[in-house]
Amino acid sequence: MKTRSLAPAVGPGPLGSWDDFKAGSPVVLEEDGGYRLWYRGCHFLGADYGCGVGQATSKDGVAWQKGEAPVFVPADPFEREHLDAIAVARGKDGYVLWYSVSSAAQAGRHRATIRAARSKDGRSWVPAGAVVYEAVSQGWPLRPVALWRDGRYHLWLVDSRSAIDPKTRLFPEMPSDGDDALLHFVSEDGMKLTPAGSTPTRAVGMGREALWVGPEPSGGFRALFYEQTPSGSARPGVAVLRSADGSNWERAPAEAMPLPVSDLNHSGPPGISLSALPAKAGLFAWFGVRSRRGSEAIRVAFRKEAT
Amino acid sequence: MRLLRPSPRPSRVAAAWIGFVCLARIGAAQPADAPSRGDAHRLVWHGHIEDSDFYVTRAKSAGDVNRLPQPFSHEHSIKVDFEYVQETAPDGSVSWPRRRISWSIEGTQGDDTFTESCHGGGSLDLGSSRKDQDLTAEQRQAMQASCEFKKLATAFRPYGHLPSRPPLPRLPGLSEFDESCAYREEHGTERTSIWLTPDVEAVVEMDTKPGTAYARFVPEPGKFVELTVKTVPPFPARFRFVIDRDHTSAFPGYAGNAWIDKWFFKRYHLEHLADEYKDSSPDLIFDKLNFQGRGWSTVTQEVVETSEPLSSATARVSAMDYGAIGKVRVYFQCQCGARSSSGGQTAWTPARIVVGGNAREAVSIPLDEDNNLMADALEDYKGDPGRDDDDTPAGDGTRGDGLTAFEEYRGFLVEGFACQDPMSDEHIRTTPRHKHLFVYASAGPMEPNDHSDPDWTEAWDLWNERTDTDLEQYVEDFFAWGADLSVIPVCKRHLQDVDTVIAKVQHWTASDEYLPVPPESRVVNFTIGGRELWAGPIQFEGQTVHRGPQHGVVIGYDNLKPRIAHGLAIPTEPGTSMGSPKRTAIVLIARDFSRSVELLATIHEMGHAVGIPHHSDSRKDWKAVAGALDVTPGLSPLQAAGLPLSSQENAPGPSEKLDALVIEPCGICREGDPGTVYRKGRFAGCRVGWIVRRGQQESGDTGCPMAYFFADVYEPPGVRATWRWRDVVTDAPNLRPDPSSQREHWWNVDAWGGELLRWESEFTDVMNYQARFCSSTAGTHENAGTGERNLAGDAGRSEPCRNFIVVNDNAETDPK
Repeated sequence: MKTRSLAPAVGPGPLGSWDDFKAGSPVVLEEDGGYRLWYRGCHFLGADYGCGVGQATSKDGVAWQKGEAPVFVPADPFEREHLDAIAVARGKDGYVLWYSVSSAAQAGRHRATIRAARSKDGRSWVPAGAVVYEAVSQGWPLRPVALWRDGRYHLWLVDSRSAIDPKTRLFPEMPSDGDDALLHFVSEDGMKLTPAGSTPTRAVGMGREALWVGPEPSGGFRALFYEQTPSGSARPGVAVLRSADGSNWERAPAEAMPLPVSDLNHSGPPGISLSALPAKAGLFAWFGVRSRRGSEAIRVAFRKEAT
Repeated sequence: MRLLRPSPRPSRVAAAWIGFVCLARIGAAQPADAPSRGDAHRLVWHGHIEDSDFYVTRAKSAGDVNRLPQPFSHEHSIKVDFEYVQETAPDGSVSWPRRRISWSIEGTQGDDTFTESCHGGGSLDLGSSRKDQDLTAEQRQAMQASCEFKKLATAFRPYGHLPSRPPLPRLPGLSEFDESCAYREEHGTERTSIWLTPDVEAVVEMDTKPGTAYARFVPEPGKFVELTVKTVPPFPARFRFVIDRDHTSAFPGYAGNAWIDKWFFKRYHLEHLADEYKDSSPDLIFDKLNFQGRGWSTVTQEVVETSEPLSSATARVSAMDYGAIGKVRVYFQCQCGARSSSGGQTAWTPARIVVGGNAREAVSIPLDEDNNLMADALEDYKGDPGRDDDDTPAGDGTRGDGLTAFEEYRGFLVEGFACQDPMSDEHIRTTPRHKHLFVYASAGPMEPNDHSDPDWTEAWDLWNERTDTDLEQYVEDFFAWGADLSVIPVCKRHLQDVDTVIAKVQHWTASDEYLPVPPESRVVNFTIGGRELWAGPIQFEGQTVHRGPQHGVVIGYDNLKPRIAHGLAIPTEPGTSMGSPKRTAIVLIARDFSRSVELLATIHEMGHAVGIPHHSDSRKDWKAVAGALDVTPGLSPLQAAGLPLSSQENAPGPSEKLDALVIEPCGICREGDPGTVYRKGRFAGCRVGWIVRRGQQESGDTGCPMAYFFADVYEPPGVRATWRWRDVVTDAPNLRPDPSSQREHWWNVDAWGGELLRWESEFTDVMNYQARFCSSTAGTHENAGTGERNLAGDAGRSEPCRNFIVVNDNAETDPK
């Protein structure tokens, strides 16, 4: 990826504020000639740890104005403490926010879940209540990504296809292409998900990285994820997948965008989230990156592409 | 897991830095009596480390790849809190005069070849040292968790071990602290936060001496306890009071049978909370009415914080449930230095809690030093909250009344002045030593309200709640006395879904064997499991608070159907189901009899509702087992054929139902006597309706409400009535039966022979003699007469009525 501009976009708030430790899991939508960003923010001080969803706006995608307060905070303390990743899409009747809540065996919650909230304006959110999706795998995170296209929501996430049989208490035989798959769901309302198809993650050389999916003007979808330690001689950077129907994905190695971790100022463990939007003459990408101490910030990159 | 590792900076350099950044600033705001030890400076390092992880994956193959079908699961949770006091001497040397650490560590992992578990926790005073990281061998050993490794198969799979020791504090260099003297980091599953404060502590002391407000406090909605926290020595600080949600009850409703509704807010003058307090809210809250004014910056139901630095603060913690139990934690926050321009501040440091002179981690509300979830102020409720061992009356030996000691402590709303007025409802806590039975005595019209008709307003609903005072008196005064049970009258709303029972009984007829009502209907302890009505058990803080649903009894006058008996206890299941109240759908009492008969019928049917069969019968596996029974037209065909009365076989003949019985000519039946009948023109005997047999329904203690008093003819001692023949009889010798005419002069009968005698019953007014359920099977009064003047003799079973009484609906699951 040819980095033309790279700057911190949204960082943690001042100590004592609701997002004083983390600002990550970005989702950016283009609106009214500018950009809106939703992100997961987390407060951490002493024994207090809790997260919510914040919002920021920008005219150019680089300089952002954060809102003072979170736009959504789960009512359940457990969900606040285990809020993991978010996805946002704008549909015909407003916005839907999906947020994943990670598991914690000590609290009796053995599987990550995805819950949802609705909003007319993207600021005032009303929780939908029920769990939209419960992970098959136990103890592993879910990182949803979503968009609205052709009159319905599309939602993707990586999860295991191999559930433990409750009778035998055994996994099924492992499929030759591994347990995990990139699952594709469609939904009229964003709440009731209908499986549309899947692609084994091993087939496209990805793990459980956070994904971004965008629609292609010519039809089909493009997915991006950051590979911090790619296989072979490939360099760290943004990997590209393509799909005509959203369910069957193929790797597009020629489109990979090398981007050193150091360029992102990322010094923490693997796990970079991202959101992207095509822009005039290129591609904007916002990365949720971690510092050595585990705090998170969102950084922006721009890739100049041939028109 | 992080292990002890050296600080990256020499401690002497670090100390100098601290003195400049923090103590110099503190000094400016320090009151005259703030801690001062010569020129030495003291600083407290507080820290919190948390590490938890959980995953299930495929077990590893021999090639170290997670691909086997067997699952491998790993789970661990570690928490560490520490407080190290650092002292910098005038010469710049640093020492650590006080170090405390507390931790908990839990972990399990394994697959089909092994299991490993680790468990540990505690707190240590590490004492003083020259270096923060100095630990003795004993201290290291004390922190070692107790781990158990079990090999289940010979296969070896390479997994790492569980963490068996808490991560020890690693004090970062001061350059890593932010301007508010806080340091935070997260690595993988581990989070660490460290912050610095002056050497001040905050203390909450709760006086538990008898008579003090805290010692006397018993939770009731709206009542509160005051907690006061002070800094020692006095020093400006902000204070924070937190309801510990993890250790505070949030039982749905506010008593065993009362949801949070508009009456709740009205009754306890809590209208200001009506929009925000829900069934799912914690049972202890900070009531915003108690935190008005500028002294408080944050006020939520769960957290309140003072706005400005003070040396003490008092918060009121309000109960919202009669069974409220929880913990309140108190924190304080001293500015590390002057407040920064960004408003930065240190993390909240726990205050020291002292309860009755003993150190505690949090303040228990109410005072509960025996940790049984119930206020120590009430002597009745000592011991296991999950026990249900009420032992009086002994009944069939089943202990308990289906309510745990905690449920009896939390109590119930019951009928007050009138059920039409919910504001008059009263709350009672029942004793865990005596068995209770809740009874709703409907006044009718027993018409359910499904709210489909807009004319059924709330007022009509409430009008429909009214109870029948006669039935209530019969049950509360007479049945209760007779059974030695504590009977508690309640309103319809105090039992679950009585409307469904009432709706169903409208369509019940005498030919129906039972009334299939939902099992959750009539339950009295219906709130604690939430709207789903958990079967139980339900636990809180590892202790059982609910064992299962306990049913009350619904009783009403049967004023809608033809009279079929003096009364009925209609079972919920087919067959002859009999036992605790869950087995009785409803008790119906026929109107239009005298008050005496209504009373006796009420006590009798209520007896069935608590498992008492007739004197002729016994009970096995929660079913009544009939004895030989008196001879009646209904039973005669079976009795004549010698078939068991529970037989599903068709007894031979008659094709039509019998109209009556006949006794063959004998000493009490001569031609011309009342009931004389003829068979084929010849005198055949006397028509009777009921032949009393020895040891059956009328037998035993005649003062017992379960004894019948239908004496007509009877078998005197030594006589056994025997079936003779079945035929049509007429009341005149020359009359021919005409099937087309009404049976005023001819009948289908079974004839029975034997030297039977007539009995003239001397039924007395039970309102005067107040019947008690019998405690002996021996006959009394006419059943104890000598010679042939003995009506029915001793009861024909081995146990008296009192030995059948059972109230506990969990009797099957809770062994005697």
